Amino acid sequence: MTTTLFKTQVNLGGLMEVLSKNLYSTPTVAIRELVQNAHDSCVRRRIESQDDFEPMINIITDQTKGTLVIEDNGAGLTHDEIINYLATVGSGYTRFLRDQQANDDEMMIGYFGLGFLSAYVVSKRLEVWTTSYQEPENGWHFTSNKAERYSLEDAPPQPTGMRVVLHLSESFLDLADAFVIEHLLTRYCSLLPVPIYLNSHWDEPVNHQPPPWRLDKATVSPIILKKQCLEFAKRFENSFEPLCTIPIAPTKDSNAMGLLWVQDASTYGTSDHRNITVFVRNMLVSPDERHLLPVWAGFVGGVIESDDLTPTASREDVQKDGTYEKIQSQINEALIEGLANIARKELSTWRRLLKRHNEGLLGAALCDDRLFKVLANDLKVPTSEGDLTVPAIFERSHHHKIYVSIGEEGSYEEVIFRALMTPIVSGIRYAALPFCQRYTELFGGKVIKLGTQSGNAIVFKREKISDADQQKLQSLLAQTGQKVIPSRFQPSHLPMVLIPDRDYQLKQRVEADEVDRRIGAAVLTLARDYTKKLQSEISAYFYVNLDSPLIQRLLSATGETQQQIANLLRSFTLMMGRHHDDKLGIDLSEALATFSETILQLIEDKKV
Amino acid sequence: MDIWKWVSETQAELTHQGHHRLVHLMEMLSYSTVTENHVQVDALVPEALALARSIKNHWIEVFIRHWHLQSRVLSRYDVTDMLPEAVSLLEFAHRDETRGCPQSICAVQDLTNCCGVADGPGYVEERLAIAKETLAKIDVTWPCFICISDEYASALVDGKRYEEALTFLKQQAQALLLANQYEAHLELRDSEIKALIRLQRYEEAYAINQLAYKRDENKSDILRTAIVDACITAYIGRYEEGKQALPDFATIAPTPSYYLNWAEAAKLLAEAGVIPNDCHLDAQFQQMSDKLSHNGVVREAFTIALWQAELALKREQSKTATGCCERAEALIPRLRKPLDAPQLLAEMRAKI
Repeated sequence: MTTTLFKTQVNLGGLMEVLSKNLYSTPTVAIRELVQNAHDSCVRRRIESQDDFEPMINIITDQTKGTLVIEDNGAGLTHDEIINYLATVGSGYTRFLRDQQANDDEMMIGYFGLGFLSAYVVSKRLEVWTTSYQEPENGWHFTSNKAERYSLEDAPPQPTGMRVVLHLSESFLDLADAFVIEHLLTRYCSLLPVPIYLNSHWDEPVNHQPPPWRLDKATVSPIILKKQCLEFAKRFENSFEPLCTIPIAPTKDSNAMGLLWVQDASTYGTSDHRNITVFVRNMLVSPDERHLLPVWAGFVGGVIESDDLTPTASREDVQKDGTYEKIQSQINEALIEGLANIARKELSTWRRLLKRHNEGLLGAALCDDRLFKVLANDLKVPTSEGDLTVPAIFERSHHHKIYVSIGEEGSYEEVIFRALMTPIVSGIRYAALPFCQRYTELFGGKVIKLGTQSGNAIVFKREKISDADQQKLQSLLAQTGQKVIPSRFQPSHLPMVLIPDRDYQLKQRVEADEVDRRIGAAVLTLARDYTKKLQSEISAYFYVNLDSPLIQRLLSATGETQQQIANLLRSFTLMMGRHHDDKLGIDLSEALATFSETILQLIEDKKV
Repeated sequence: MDIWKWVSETQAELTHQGHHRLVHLMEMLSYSTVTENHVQVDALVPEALALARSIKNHWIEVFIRHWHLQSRVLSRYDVTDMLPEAVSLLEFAHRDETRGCPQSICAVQDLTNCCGVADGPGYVEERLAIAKETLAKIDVTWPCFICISDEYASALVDGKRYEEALTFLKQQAQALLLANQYEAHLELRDSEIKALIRLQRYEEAYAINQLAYKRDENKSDILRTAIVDACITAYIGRYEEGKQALPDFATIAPTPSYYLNWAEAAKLLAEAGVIPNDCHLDAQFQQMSDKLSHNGVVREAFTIALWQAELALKREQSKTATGCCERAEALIPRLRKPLDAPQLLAEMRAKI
């Protein structure tokens, strides 16, 4: 058997189509790629030529002609370099040069040799004029309509460098608008050290403002620095004004630097407006690397630069590797420390921040105990008496207790505490209950969940009474399956409350015969295994308040009066509880009827 | 039935009715659960539930309670607190007004998971019966097909029916292939790898785990795969590789569902002398066993307590080993079925 080796055939046209259309998420990336090429060309000239020159990039827009020009005074290209690099997909001189360079002082950006492709995405025709520093007497003119074919001819020598002219296609004529280009340049290229001029009549480079972390802190006053940080943040934050900023300084594990900011917009607990713009080797690689921020920071934006991050081929994303994880952790630490600093040193900003992001911070605090300790006494939770901090709740309740309602509003327990003006935390609101629980775990105190067995045990303090009284109350107030529990609670004018037993309810429902036709036999066995173990024989409990004058009267009364008081108490309690459940022996219409009859009887008695 | 299609349609309807907040919370709940952001789950569930109840949408209530159980039981192994809720949801999700909800079937799974987590081997027959009953009601197009197949295979593995588990998983993978969802079969890998490890077919287990490594995207999957990797490479005898793969205890400590695999890998590596068998490791094993016991995860708490005893014996600390055995003994009455637990305990005591 013979084996023949073949060379893989490439359909260049198809490949170019796929690459140029799919490599980048947005055609505006072309600007970034071409400016980056210009930058690298300037760096190359500095490394290779020893020429004394001031590197510079000019961008010229012309809406009338529909052109965008990117020109630089970098190294330029020779005839062979045009063929080998400019016209060869996937072959970049930058990578070659970087591999040759021992030190990394001269920062080169390009890597894959794909950047020039992006020009074809937005242009119907592309022209390049160039003169290399190696052959200043020669000039070249490169033209291509599509990346598949190009022409190359002699041209009069130009000043050293390269001039790329994009004849924009109809869909991308906006790229000839100076306003649009300025916006793109200030984002994509604001960290590049080579000055970039937009239409030469503009007197200062668009990237004249260095990022705040590159400023020499010794020469800038704190007020100016703060102002510049906010201005910088404003440039990168799409949707909100920045409220305050937090620096990211390098650590022993990560060389990333940057700036975070808190957004000045009201958010709710689960709002997620995180955004982080990432620069690698001076060039914007990803405008939305939100996962670098902790999940709880839904109100934070930021910009970072790190040369240790590895861009993907499209250079619109970075690889999620070990470096990425280190930077995640660095940002998390910087944010917590930064917020703690604001809390300590910038009180008015801190108040504003709390006002804007109270809900989000409740959730955030739960993710990190250090952050919790910073926020614990300042955040407010929703209560029946308005939004209050936990210390304020402690002050208004007794013995460091936080009462939390976890069911529907208007429960018995809620009525009691409203009457006593004791705040009840609304446990159904975002993060309120876990925040209170964590607070008491860290600083002491107790959370009492109203409507639970443990909560009821605390709210309704049981009291021992004589067997005769117990028997009397049981027979007067309870029906079969219900139980009277003598107790004491405030307010004393509330005679008793009815609390259905949830375990009993579940047991009844799961063990009912008709459930067999609704639930599969195998799984029902498991459910019944559980309910069989429940000892609940009591359907509902009447907590009888021994401090109530009415209950005291009930115990001392006799005969018909006693029965009338009992009827009224029972009806009143059932109506107030609003429970209606035949299985629990609670019939609201019967209660109303009894109430009405007893009142009538009392009126009649009085007449008599 | 495509559950996510129902979710998407429901959310569109809710949005149209102006219930934007509930839509957002529904999204956040499932997302936070799968990304293991459990703090967020706990923070938002009461509100989501209250909103669903306020508009009397029982199907959404099923959705919310199911995802809450996913977070509390499957990730956090919180059986003690959540078993009553799982029973309650099962009943609620099968009432006339809710049984049509596509997620009702997940309530069956939630209760089964609770029992499987509490005592996997003790509930083998029930778990197999339930999974079989449920599989008969669905086909490969249901997203539940994967979960329930996994549950069936996991029960077989817990019942030491390893070859049967592998045959079953092969059938399910073929069904997925025919349904053009072959990639999804990797989601069934946990049971396959466990069965292969118990059959000492380590190289095959390793190869499957490596495939999973390449596919994993979220942090929890990556962590789970790394722990299994540490375990398999330790069994193969590539201890250094195992040590490299094993995550720090601090990383897994908040998530009890990682404990058993982590403890198995750590025990193998400690026995090989690659990581120190010292008082720190002892404390970590104790912490895991205690936490699992507190959470009602009885069988795993028992297993780890015995492993802790074994490691203590290797350090010649018979008193510690005896203490571990006492803790293990106290767990036996809490098992659904003791099975080989008393024998394992007796064997361990005989070594002391």
